[in-house]
Amino acid sequence: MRYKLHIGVVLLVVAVFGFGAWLNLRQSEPAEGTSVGGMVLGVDIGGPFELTDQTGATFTDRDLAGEYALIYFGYTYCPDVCPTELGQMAAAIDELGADGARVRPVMITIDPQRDTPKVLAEYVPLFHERLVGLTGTEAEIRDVAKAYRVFFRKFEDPSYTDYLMDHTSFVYLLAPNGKVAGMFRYGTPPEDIAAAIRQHMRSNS
Amino acid sequence: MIRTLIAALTVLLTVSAAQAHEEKTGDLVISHPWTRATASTQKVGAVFMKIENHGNSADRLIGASSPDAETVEVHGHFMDGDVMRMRRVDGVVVPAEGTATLAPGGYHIMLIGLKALLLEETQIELTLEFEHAGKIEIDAIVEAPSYQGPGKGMGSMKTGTHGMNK
Repeated sequence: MRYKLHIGVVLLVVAVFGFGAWLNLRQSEPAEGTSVGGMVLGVDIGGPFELTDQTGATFTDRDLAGEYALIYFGYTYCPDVCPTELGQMAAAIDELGADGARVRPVMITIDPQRDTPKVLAEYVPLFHERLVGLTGTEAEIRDVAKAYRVFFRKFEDPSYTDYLMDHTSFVYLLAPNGKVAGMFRYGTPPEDIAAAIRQHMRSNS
Repeated sequence: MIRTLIAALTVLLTVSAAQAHEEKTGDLVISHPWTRATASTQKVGAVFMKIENHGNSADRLIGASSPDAETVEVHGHFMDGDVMRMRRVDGVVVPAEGTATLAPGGYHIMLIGLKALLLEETQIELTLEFEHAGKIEIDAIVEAPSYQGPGKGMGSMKTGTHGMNK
């Protein structure tokens, strides 16, 4: 009787592991949320967008084709988290040395009401000479944020001097094929971001 | 080699600056208060610092004011899942024989309605208000726009110069 119970347990364990292995085989893409070296992989996000850059010119996803891009969604009225992340992005690009020239830093505002091209033109060079600042209509920003699954919401309270924006704070790595290769959580060190980009460059060259 | 030397020099300078840059009142010691340089279109800034309490009773930072900003508030960032929410707070507790750190991603003093551009390597005046210690006047150093905090630098020397490329 005890012997049969043991066999039962062994069969159950084999079945569970087998099912797990089968599931794993079925998914050739890494599971969503898998994190390798600070980069979250397997996120099926991104897509085409048409926005306006800091010079007032139209800027679309096609302008980034063939090169890497680090994309951050933030706003200039944010004195703390956004400059920190933009600084980390710039540091990651510097960390890459010569390969850094293949990576374009991009900031997309989630606060188009305040962040006009003129405001962005003054702001973006503070962080990187090649940083592109993108804005658009409320609808255009809503669409690109939706495509990247960026959450943002205006926080207004009569006791506050001005409105603030609640938002998710990720840096997205766009590969030269236009697909999002992964994303980095707030606070990922620039060396880790650079290492993930270098690894992606090596395995796709 | 030169880069290493520059980095070492920067660390030395930062350390000595941080040591020299300290304000002591009663039991409270405020060290290296800093903010970031701004663009002319930026009307807000954040001031960060470390507040040490050598006394045996807790104190609380309840407010601040500055001649350089129309409004000054104490703010904090709160992570709600992956969403960053910046909110005003009633105060920041400085525990007895402990430290309160105001750093990016956590608490900061928010300068709203900046009256002038914050230029790198200048200073801004700030009066902190504590529940028990009362008012303490400090000068915050304006660092590079991408400065990450004492000991963290700006990731690299090159990044720091971007602010001057204008």
